[in-house]
Amino acid sequence: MSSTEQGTSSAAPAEPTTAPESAAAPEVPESFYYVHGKDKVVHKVSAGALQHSALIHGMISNLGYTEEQAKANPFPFENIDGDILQMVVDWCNQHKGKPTPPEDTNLPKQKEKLFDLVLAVNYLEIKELLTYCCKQVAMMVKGKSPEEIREIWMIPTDAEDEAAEKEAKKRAGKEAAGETAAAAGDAK
Amino acid sequence: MDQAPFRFVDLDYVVIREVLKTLDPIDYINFSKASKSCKRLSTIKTRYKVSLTFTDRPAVWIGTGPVTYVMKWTDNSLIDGSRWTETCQGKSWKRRLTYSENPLSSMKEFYLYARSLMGVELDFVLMNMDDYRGECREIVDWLRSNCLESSALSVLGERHRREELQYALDNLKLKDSLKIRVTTIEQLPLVIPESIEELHITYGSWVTIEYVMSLKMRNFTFHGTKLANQELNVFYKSWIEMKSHQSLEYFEVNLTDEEDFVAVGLRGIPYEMGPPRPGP
Repeated sequence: MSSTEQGTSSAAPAEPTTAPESAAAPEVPESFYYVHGKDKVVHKVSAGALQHSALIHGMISNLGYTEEQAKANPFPFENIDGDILQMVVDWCNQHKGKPTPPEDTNLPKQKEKLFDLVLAVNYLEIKELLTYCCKQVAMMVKGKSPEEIREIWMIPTDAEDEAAEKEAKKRAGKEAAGETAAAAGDAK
Repeated sequence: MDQAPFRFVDLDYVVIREVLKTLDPIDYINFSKASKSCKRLSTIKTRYKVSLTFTDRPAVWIGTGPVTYVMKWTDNSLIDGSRWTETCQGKSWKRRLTYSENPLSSMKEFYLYARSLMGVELDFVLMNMDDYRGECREIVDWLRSNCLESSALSVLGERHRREELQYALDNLKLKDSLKIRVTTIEQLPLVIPESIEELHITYGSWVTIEYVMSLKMRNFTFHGTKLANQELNVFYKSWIEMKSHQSLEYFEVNLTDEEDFVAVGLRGIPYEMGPPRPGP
């Protein structure tokens, strides 16, 4: 059940969250895990870096993989694009065991990437990175009018919302009618 | 502009809330106006201190720590959309100017909307009576019906009827501070609400010693009075001997006769002379 090279019975990652480097402290061998996204490209990430993700941290704690098992069974995140997962892994590596600064200027400015990054980070439960991403999303509409905000964030107009609602009701009605007819057919 | 899709409302509700919490109050208000569904999403009740200034360009000031967002309205369409930021001693004021055919109505409407959307607490009201001759009572009535109370009020203006100013003092609920920089035609005493802690009168030609003796605040500042040194001496003695003004902590007044002040104003009173300071 060991996840570290010392063979401890705990599956918790070997590294503490704060910087372990100290002249007197003995060198602790790092344990690694593997993750892949939609593109199946496997990323090797240290347990310390993965501590940023509450989801992965929980998975590690629950599964208690050895390093060999972890290598053979990378955590699959099929809902995350490869380049986005790469960004997340890079961020976790850069901020491994470090206090996170109040601002992070390295986040993507492109809307599509940022949107996917927010989805991924929220899914992986990386709180600090999510905070940065949310700030970046908020910056998109800084000083904008309601109309501009609607355009930038692709918010449907009231008319579009109403039309979508009508359409959904219509569809639900049809489905209900279909189910009733099917049930009547079964009864016969 | 980047044309890639960013469907904000498709984000997880937790993320949407996190983003909305990050928006500054003006952006948050604008988001809530983007559609009915945005209004429904705008349920975060961050508490803000708000000031209202009734001047030639009426404004709503919304403070968030070191940054204050100032929404001003103007009837000059040429300067619509102007923005500028002022910074001083680590604080900044981000100002936006918006055109309106009726700036006062737009300002009131904005305040009421902000109040319905967020937790706003009215901190300060400033009214320049010169900019609203004949309309001051209407403003006071609006404030009375829409704002429970304000921490502070400043009124300014020249040559207004006393009853117009008194109407404001009688009808606005104040907690802390009242600053009156108004000259009245009649130059008659004003009835000051007893709820306040601090009173500042800039044009105090009507302030008599009887008037000073009747006040109960913690802090008075009077300028432009005609109080004689003999009268000030009576007041000081009464204060020192705790015969009156038991809550008073600070008193400032102009001197009509500086030369005789020590000899007459401070007669029989122990004192220390501090460094001279500039006038008001």
